[in-house]
Amino acid sequence: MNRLKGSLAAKSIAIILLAASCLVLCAAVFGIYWLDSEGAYRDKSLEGVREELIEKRLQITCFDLLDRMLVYPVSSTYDSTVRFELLDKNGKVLAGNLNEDESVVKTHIVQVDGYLDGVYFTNEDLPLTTHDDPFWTYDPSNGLSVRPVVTPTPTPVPVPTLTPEQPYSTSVPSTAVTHTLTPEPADGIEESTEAAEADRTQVWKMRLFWTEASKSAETDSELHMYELLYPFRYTLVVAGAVSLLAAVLLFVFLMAAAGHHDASGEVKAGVIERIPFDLLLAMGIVGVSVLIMLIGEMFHSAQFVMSYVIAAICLTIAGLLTLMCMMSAAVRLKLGILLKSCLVWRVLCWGLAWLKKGSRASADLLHGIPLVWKWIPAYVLLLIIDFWLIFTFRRDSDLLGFLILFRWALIAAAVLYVVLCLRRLRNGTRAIAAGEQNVAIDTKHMAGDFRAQAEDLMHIRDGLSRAVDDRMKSERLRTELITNVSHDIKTPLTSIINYIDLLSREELPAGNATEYVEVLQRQAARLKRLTDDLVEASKASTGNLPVTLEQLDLVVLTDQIQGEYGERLAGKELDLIVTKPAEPVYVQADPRHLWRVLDNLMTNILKYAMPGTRVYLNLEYDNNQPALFLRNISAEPLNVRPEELSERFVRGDSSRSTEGSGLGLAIAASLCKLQNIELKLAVDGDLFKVTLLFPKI
Amino acid sequence: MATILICDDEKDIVSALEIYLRAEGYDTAVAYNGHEAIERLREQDIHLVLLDIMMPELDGISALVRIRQESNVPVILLTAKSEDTDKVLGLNVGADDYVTKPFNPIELIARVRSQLRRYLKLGGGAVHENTLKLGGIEVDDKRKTVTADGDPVSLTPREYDILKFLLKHPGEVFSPAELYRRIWNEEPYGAESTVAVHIRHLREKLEIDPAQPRYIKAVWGQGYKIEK
Repeated sequence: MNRLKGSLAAKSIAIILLAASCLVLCAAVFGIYWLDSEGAYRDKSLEGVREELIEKRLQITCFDLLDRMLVYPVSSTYDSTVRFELLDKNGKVLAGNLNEDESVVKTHIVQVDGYLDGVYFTNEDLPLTTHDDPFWTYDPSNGLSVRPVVTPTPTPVPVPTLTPEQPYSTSVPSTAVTHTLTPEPADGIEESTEAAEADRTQVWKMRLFWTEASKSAETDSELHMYELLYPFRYTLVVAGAVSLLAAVLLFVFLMAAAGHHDASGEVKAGVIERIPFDLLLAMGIVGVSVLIMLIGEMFHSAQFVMSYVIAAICLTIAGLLTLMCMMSAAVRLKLGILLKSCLVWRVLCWGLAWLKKGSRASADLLHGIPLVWKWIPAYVLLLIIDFWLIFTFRRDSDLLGFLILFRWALIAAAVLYVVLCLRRLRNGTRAIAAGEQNVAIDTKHMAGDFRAQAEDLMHIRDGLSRAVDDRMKSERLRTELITNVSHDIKTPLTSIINYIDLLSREELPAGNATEYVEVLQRQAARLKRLTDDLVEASKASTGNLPVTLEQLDLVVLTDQIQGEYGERLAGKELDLIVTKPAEPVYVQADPRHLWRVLDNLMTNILKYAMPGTRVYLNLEYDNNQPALFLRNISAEPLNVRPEELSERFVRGDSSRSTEGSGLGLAIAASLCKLQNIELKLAVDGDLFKVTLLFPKI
Repeated sequence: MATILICDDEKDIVSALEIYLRAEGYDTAVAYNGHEAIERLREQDIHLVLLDIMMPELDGISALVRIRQESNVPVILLTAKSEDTDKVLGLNVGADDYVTKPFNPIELIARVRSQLRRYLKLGGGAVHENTLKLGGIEVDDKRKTVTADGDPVSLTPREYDILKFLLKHPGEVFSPAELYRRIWNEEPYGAESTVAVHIRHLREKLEIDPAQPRYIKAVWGQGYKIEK
């Protein structure tokens, strides 16, 4: 099927067949219509139909004749009415307009003879005695002549056979008739001597007979055609139906095949599809109308055959044009570009695009104007309106008052709107400043610069939260890295520690070997502590630790600190002095993390405090906040700023000779932060002071 | 003598452990991953397992789950993972104890001994009427003697009283002041830290690692309790 659709030959044949079937259809429809109008399908015999046809034509001729008589007025001086009647050989009136009631003032019996379209006519009463007016003149186009009889003698007209007694008997060849109708010279018509001035109406009476003069002659082509077609009247119907079916099928095939150029079954746009569809349609319509006009112009009854040939060619071209338009429409429909390929549509689209661009540009322009400059014209306008109001209604104070009030209400609404917008912006900004991640400023009813402001704020929030997220992520990754690395370090470290221990149990050669092994033991232990602290510090600083806050009594905690460290401090010649309130001091904290903080702080004191000094542990209230103070005297000069102390790997003694990772204070600070405890370090000479400030419950 | 299965993918650590344990007079068996450990347990009569967690093929936790389906031999997990969640996971799937690397050899031996004693000797021992017992700790109130994992421990009278009191109320937290009132039968008036000192002494005498006690635990800021 695709091959058939794609074949050019098949399409060409289909087009030719379509044209042919259309012609057949036209002919059949025309023929059927004509036959039907003549009654061929109304159960009549050929003979009856023929008679009817003849009769009808006779009537037509009569009225035609009448028309001619009226067109060429019989008399120029009087109102003339021409009456006539047509009779057959038996005297039966076939047609006429003779009105019996009409008072005939004067009857002119005219002798008329002539031949028109197969009807022979003459006057009834011969001879005529009078005639007053000249009869109508000769019409050369028709070969008709109605001639008044001038002679009073009953001499018959030059055609002898045209007596009513024998109308059908003799066939008159048309040539002969034409001869008899040869116009008489103008002098053949004589002026009447009498003129009836008083008679206003003259009735011309005319009796016409028809003969079957053309019965066997070929002049009656219509009848001849009828007789020819009559036997095929049903075949014609079948032919019409078949050609209609064929035409429809061929049309459908052509529509289906439109756009197929090969056997692939793919629809492709051809050359014609490059023309915009509406342009093509207009061209088609113009072409078809020009062709139809051409047919009308060229149609000439004189050149009968030629006219029909030209008409057929024109019609074929018109049909092909129409078909081309339809096929192109089909292709475009298949490709879905029917609307898009229209010039009007494209122009509309361009127009819309330009309109959109223009409106956007003007909106941008309006946006670009600073707020202040936008408001100045508005304010000026308000002033003008106010002046106008006051000026116009200065006599009517009530109305003026009402208007001013109304205006104030409007202004109040505008101010309220501005205030509401500002409040939304304020709330959003405050939330962003407080670090809330899911702030959203509702910009639904905001306009212009307020909306822009809100959107900018949203951008700032997005940037902030992205930065925070990124940082959290990188911190977490770092913690994971440190944890994993420390795990990997621990395995070899285990072997090192164990084998150093085993080495120390061996019989070592005399000399420095024992001392060396001790150094190894000490440093290995330090490395172990360092890895542990590193993991903890990293976790604490990134908050990767679960925190469960419980209610604790700081008084109990100081007792426990005293119990745990009292003896060890004493061993270092340090005197621990504790002060605490008698009542319990409750705070919210994670016991394990808090203990870790205090353990680190106390261990620091054990390491760095100068022997022989006092260590103070005071539990007090500082501005209603529970606070724990730890004070001690450093053995080494503290040559660092307190802020640096809690930073990783910074230690009070820059030499770093003593044990420890240097992470103790950093871990303590991070853990305090996790529990919302404020850790403050202060250095005053050799006095080292730590403050733990607990949140109020 | 007891046989101990050492399971670790690090050969140097396994050899070191063998040296330590043999020095203490234990027999040792060796495995380098979880599958081997399970095989050794089936082949030999094993009295205790030292099990590493991070091992190829079959890790320690999975191996432990399978071991527990077959036997209730004491298992001490030995690992570089020091996070609390790891410890809890290990103990939940059936470990008896948990030692983090790098470990102190003395502490490890102490834990091994403790587990072996409980497994081999104390399992079916008759409990006297006046004896308070929790884990490896036993207090004979009649003879006024205390043993930890079978070893006699000498306590001062106050320490003895505190231990006895806590053992009678396992799991309960007592503040230092409360303990003072109960034991000393008088108001503390600033002597609460004395209780803390006694508790620390108790821990040092009874616990293998006083910094990470198994029995006598401090709840910082609240008081002390003995673990159930």
